[in-house]
Amino acid sequence: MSDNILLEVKNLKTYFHLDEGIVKAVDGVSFKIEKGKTFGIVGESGCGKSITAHSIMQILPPRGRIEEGEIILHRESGTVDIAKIKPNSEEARKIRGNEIAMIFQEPMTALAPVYTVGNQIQEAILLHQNVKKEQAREIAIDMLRKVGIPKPEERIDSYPFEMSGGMRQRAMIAMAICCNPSLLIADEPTTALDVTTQAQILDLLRTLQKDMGMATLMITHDMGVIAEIADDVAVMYLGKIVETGPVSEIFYNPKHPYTIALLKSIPKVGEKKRKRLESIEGMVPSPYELPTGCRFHTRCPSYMAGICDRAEPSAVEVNDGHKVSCFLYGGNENE
Amino acid sequence: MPSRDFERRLDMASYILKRTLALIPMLLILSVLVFIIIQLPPGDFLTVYVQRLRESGVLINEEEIMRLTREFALDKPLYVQYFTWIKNIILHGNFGRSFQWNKPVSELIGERVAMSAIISLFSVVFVWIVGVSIGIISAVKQYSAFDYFFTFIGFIGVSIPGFLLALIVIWIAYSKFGIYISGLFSEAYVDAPWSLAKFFDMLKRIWIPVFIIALSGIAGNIRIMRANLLDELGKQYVTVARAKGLPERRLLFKYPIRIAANPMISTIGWTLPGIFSGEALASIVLNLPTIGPMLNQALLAQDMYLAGSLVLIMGALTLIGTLISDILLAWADPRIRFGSGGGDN
Repeated sequence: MSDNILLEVKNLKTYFHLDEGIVKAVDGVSFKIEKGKTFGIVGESGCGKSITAHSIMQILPPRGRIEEGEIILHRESGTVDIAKIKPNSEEARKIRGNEIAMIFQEPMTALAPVYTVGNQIQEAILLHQNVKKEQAREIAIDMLRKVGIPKPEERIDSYPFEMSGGMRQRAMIAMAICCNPSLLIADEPTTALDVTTQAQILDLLRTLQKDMGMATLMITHDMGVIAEIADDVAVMYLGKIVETGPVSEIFYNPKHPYTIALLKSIPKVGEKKRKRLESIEGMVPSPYELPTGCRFHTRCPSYMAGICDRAEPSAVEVNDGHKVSCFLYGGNENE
Repeated sequence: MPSRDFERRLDMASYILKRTLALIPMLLILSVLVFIIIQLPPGDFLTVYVQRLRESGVLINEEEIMRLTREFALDKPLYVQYFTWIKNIILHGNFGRSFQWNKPVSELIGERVAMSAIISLFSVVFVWIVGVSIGIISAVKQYSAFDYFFTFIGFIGVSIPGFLLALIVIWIAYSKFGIYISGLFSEAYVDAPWSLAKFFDMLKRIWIPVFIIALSGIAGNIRIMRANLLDELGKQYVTVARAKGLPERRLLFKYPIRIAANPMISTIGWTLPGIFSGEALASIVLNLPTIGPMLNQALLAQDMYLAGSLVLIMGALTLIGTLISDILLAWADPRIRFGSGGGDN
């Protein structure tokens, strides 16, 4: 079982030390990613899903810091705790872009405007592989072909502004996979694209994953994307995972009131009556004044006064691999 | 089949050619403006010249007057005068005559234009190297002591005019150290012909005027570079490059600094007029043998051929500077070179 684990995140805490106070962007998150599988993290903006990804990559903004926890990468030659490595050290740079690669949300701004896409892809290859420039160019052309860019021999000399959004995201993916990473982190890879392009990019990611045998960490706010691509899911709310499990469990047997509310707020095609889309009451609380107890209690329809606002619920396994942190299902061993 | 690379080179070449050709009409317009300035004071320069001679009681040589009239076509209509003036400049390097000095303008300004060019060039280089490097450090180490210090210096530099700073520097140097900073050469070399020793003497003294002229430019560049770079540092491509595993310093120079510098390249062109006028004021105060003080005197004395020639030369240099900065920008930024602008869709 544990042979299949690629990345293990244990009790990860990433805080931002700002003038206004400490923001606990990620506050005790644990999950495991299996080799070759897709793990999805879903949640509203500001729930800490991107910061979790940035923590794994060690590319946090200047004021963000991993305070606690482990990020264990399993390799054939042993394990390494990424959280213990200095972000700018050579060791960290050898993992970044090589073993763990990342694609980003905005294909429009993710490529620098003054270099050709070929230049930017070859840079990654030359950085991590011991090849000559001409070979790097060949690899880059191959990669562009792999991600479905037509006429890659020509497009490799294109500047990003000469490409459409979908093409740029494909080029970004080519850049990320050019060193055969064992884990690809996709941070909202389809959010900025139109719907047809979104579907193509998801298809592409799935095909590549199968071909190259890499694991994917899919960060998104879109339940539809999760349903389409993920094997396992974690639902995050305000820096904590509230529910996690296999994708079918989460969709067909959701337990946490937040997950249930999220699923209800997806518009469904072919619904008979025209009715208002359900939404979650209230706003995401300010990160400087997190609610006491369960962080969702201020918006929770099943709120139990005197319990939910007193203590934080711990994770309870309700089914095989399906864990939920909610007092409705126990979880009060913290008392 | 021409390769993509070849096409791009061709694009660049045609861009440079187009830009250079566009310089010609601009130079023509400039020359017409300068000619109008020369013609603005009442009477042509010969009448003024003759009148001056008469006032000082010098005997007037009729033949000389006839020759000058012919040389500048003063008896012909204005447009003929204009073409004669241009022809003289282009074919013979003859910029007309300064009646104030009673010498051909070209003889008067040669060395001064060179001095101005040297000081301006030094200033531009200084403004760039110092301003941009401080701007980079300020942005990378935002809100550090270094950043705060140079932000303060920057505001002072932008607000104090060069001539005032020159006066303050002269006063401090004289009252505290007993040194009289004036001129570009020490006494031994002022009237000496050019030699290596004179050149080194100049290099020793040029720093004070260069610093004074450059200060406001440096301050401006610090502000612009810092702001540009802070903008770029927040962009996604920086995070992407970091995610590739690029070492931080290489990343900074290859991506954000490179891109933040682009808008600055385009400003080289219009910093030139600022440098020229700053140089003129500082030169007057510091008594430097550049064209600034000469232009000032020529305008006061209505020595119009001299003043006009100086304006023409400075204008032409500014246009050429702008051309160079345009070409540099096209070389640095492919979005300019290949036209399509942002091209987002």
